[in-house]
Amino acid sequence: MNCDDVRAALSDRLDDLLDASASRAVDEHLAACEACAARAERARRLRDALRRPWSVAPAPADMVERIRGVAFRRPAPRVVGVLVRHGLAFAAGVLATLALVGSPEEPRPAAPTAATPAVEVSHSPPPPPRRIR
Amino acid sequence: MHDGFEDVYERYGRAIHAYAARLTGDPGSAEEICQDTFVRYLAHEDSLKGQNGSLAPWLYRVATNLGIDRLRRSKPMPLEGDPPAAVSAGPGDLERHDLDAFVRAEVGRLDPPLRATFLLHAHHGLTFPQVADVLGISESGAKQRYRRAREHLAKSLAHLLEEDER
Repeated sequence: MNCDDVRAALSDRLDDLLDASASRAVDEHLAACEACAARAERARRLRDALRRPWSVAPAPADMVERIRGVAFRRPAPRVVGVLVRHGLAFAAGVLATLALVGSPEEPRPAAPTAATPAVEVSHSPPPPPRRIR
Repeated sequence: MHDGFEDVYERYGRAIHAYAARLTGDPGSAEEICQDTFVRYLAHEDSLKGQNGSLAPWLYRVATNLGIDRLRRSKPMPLEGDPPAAVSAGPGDLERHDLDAFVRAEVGRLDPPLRATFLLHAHHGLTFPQVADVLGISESGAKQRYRRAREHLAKSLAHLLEEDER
């Protein structure tokens, strides 16, 4: 390995990402090359800085109770579910009834098809305007 | 041997909480992720009891998914603690805690999957096969992600060490 090879492999060597033979080759070069050894020292300092976990606030003391509280929270009472279902069914019935009784709107035209294009082309002249008496 | 929930939390709770805090940079998110991770553990407790060796990766996987989902949904947020004002440390005045603050800030700038990879290996001691298991990728993929994270961090921080040596 020459200096360029070693410098390219240095970080991988420090992070144990190289196989045994490549690691040995890097180590042998570092033992004989002062410039690369100095570079390796800087890389080691950087590696150490990157691997130093920063402190964080501890978990709350009552976390176990919180977890249990959420995990074993009782499901909503069944009667509520029944009421909700019945309420939804009632609402759906009301809407269906309103739809059947009729709305003031015109019925929607069918979706356009090849046979009935979206824009109707009239081939006959428009009717004459009605005379105003 | 079957551990009770308290034993499992005692063994892994602090690490999972710290991981969530470092991943999201937000104490509130860390608490919620830790809580939800162990709630899910309790939901799957019976099937996980016989898998002592894979419990830690399972917990980290859940926490990672929750954390990355949260990071993707939310706007970027400053990491816990005061970020360094600027990369303005002069030669010789870079104290260790300053360097740690720069590292923390730069880790917080990594994409969430790279950040997770970096934290799992460098700060939480998972091996690359374990990191791969947590992230659902190959071992070589985990190493590749770690390299990318490290290169980004090294590029951002190397000049601080060089200045400091002058």
